[in-house]
Amino acid sequence: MNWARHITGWVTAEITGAEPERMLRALAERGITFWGATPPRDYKLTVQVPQSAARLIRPLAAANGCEGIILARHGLPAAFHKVRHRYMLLACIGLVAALLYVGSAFVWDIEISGNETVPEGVIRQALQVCGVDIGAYWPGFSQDQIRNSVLLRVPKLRWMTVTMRGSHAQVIVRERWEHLPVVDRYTPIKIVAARAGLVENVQALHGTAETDEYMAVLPGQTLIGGYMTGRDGVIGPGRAIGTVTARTWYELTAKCPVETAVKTPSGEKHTRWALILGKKRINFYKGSSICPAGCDKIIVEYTPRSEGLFTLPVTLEKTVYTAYETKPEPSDGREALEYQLMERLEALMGQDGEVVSSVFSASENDGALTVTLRAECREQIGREEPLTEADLAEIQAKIPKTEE
Amino acid sequence: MTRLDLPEESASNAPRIVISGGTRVLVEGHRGLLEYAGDRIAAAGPNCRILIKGEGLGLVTMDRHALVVSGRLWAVELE
Repeated sequence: MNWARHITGWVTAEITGAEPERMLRALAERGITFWGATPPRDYKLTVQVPQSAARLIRPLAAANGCEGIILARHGLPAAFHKVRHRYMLLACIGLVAALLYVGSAFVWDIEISGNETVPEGVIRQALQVCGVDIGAYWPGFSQDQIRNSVLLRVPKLRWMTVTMRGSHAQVIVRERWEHLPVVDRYTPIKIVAARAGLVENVQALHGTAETDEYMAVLPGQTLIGGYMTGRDGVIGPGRAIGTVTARTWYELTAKCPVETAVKTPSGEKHTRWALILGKKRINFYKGSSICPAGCDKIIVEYTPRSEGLFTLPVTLEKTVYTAYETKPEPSDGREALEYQLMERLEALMGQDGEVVSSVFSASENDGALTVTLRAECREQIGREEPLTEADLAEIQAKIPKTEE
Repeated sequence: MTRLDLPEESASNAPRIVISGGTRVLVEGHRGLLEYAGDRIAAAGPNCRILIKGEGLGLVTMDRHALVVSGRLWAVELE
């Protein structure tokens, strides 16, 4: 409602008379909507009416025994009325409006979303080949042609679309699903120990358990054999399925320097400016933009844009170089190393593992801090491994011969 | 109207008064403003006079069919 009032404009009128509220009644009877009417005081009230009704205020007030004057004009028409003789300003506004109108037919900003594994650069490159690039005239785009061409160039994508919002191209992609591996239930497989440990629990769902609780196992040792056993002995090779939970022990170490170089700003700052027009870059400085040694470089870009409405192909780039000095200071890396070691341990154990107990120790030697983690864990140590020729021969030997 | 289960004001010219939270009154179907002051606002209805009493009352907006009053309301009387 308010934006409509701003576009059409409104006026604040002051009504003076013996009964100024009669004016309000007259306005309503005329079908003129008004708002913000103040209660009469000293035979005066103020009221706001639309710009279109401003010319009726004076005669209507006179007809109701009052005097009406316009105190102020508001909104867009009033703003234009104020600058009506400032021709240069109006010309500039007109020029900017024309530039916005023409510029909105070109792509000045590309946003890609929906990609998880395919890098954005790959999609941008494929779009560039199809003509979707900064400065491209987008009314000439063919959605089907772009889609087909990009999907052919990036086979990992299964769907894409380009939506234009002013000069902003929104590219939405969907990636192909990876096919889940098909479980082979027939190839003979055995389950072996992935690491050394003390077996706590064996669950052999298929195959024959070759280990038992409280047995120590070594890496590569068969835990569940890839053969089935019947009432009369071994029946034949098969796929072992099951889990073996064991207690395992780890000793992991990590190192870092005792002293680290810490940056301290020296107070020296240097700012450089550059203007980017579409793909052209105009540097307002001499030399290279490479950051000199001992400097931090921070780039801030200012682009005139309104989200979803327009984007101008002009970017003002501010680069601030902050000089720093490095000073050796004692490192507080022990905590970081402990965290890093614990993360490594969790990665080694996998999702099913749990840490039963852990202890850290640290030592300093030759300017290096060494942190050691010793941990006792409980985890599933079974790992599938295909049966070798020797395994199959051994199983065949176990099968009892039938007499004909 | 009662038999058809329709609201009374939909067919008759009875005014419709909506009070929101004791600070705002909407009067639909009025026949003009009769009185306007900071402590009382009166509007003409088809067969009655609608009197709104309160403190710091103000006419938020008004047109031929409806008016909105805001302020601290004490009473809305039909005379």
